[in-house]
Amino acid sequence: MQLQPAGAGPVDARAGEADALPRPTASADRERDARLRGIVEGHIDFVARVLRNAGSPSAEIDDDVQRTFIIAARKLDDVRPGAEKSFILRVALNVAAHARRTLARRREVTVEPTLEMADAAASPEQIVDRNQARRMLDRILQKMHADLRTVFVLFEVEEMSMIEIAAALGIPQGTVASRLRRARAEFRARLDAIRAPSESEKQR
Amino acid sequence: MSDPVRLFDGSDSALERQLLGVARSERSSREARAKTLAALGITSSAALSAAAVGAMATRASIAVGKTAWAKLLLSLSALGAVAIAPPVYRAWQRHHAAVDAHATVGRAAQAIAAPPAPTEMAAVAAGAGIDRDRPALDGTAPVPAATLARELAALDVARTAAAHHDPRRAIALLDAYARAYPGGSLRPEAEILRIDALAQGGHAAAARYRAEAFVRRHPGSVLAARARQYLAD
Repeated sequence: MQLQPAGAGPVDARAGEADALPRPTASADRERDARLRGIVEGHIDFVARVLRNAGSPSAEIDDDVQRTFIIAARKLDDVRPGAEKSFILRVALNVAAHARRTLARRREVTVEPTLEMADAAASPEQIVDRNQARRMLDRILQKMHADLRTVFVLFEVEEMSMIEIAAALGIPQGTVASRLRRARAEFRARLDAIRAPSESEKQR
Repeated sequence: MSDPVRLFDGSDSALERQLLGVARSERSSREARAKTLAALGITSSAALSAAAVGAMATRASIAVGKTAWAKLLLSLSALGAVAIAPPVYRAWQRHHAAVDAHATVGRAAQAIAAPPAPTEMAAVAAGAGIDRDRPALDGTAPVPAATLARELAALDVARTAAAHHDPRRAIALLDAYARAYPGGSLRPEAEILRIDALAQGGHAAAARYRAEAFVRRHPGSVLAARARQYLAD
């Protein structure tokens, strides 16, 4: 049912209350809009990947992307030009952390997702299909500690330099380097563990 | 300190390279982009220019209206600001209402009646220079870019009408949107606009009724905070 307005009511009864409000200049607003638009256009794919790889449920990525930019836009005036990517990254990581906590609360009993046989059958050189690859990566990333996962994803997927990562996360470069080393070792070990059943089958 | 070679480039495991390659190739969905732009209210100058709104003065007035919309959304999403945002928004609109409001709305309405050229509109939704055919992250079948762009344009004209203090026209335009896109991707955004327009038109009970329904249907939505303001009134 569509509710239609019935007759001409008081359209704007309260509009006069704030006539004395300070008036922002139109050009400043246009500049702000242009900046916001540039941030969305320039970083929306980055934000979506960061959210996905940081554990936002895939069904909620669109909402979390929207949420990230709305929060970012609210604080945009405090962000110095050139620091937009770091800023949006931190907002996205917070949104993803919130999404993970919400998901964890929703699950009364955490059920360990079981990989399909096709995933387990992948050998080191075997190319699996795209969906299988994504599921394998999900399984590995979700088991990593968040600090290691973030550095791993930013370096290996987003191709940010260690200097950029250190600046964006506000941690020393040495910490980035050590987290990356540990994350890589864990990534490899977990991938090996996924592959192990098929290799043990081969030996039988 | 020099960076190590990335696994995607240097790993001896094809599987490792493939997993990382899949992650690297992913893009946001068109719906995510459309919803984000709609929520921030920063699409219409581009969308409406594609709908042949040419004059600089007109475009400037749209930009002002859009800014007000963005301010409304942003202030509503701030904790504590929910209750005061609507009168502030309306007052702000009074200051900035465009001189040629009716001309703008009239021309903009053509975006519904006669959708603009698909290629231009596709560019609006798809983003210039970005390959939107790459896999989307939500795993759903993508909505054609041109369809999303037309949905965005349809909501923009409704929003423009509301920004120019014409809630009845805004609701009529939202009805047109609902008829044109019964399964549209931006229905939640359209419903929020409708609730705003009902409240703006003095139909507080109807706005509250629909707001309650919205919150029930989308309790975790980023837009639910906007609906809740009508429950608190």
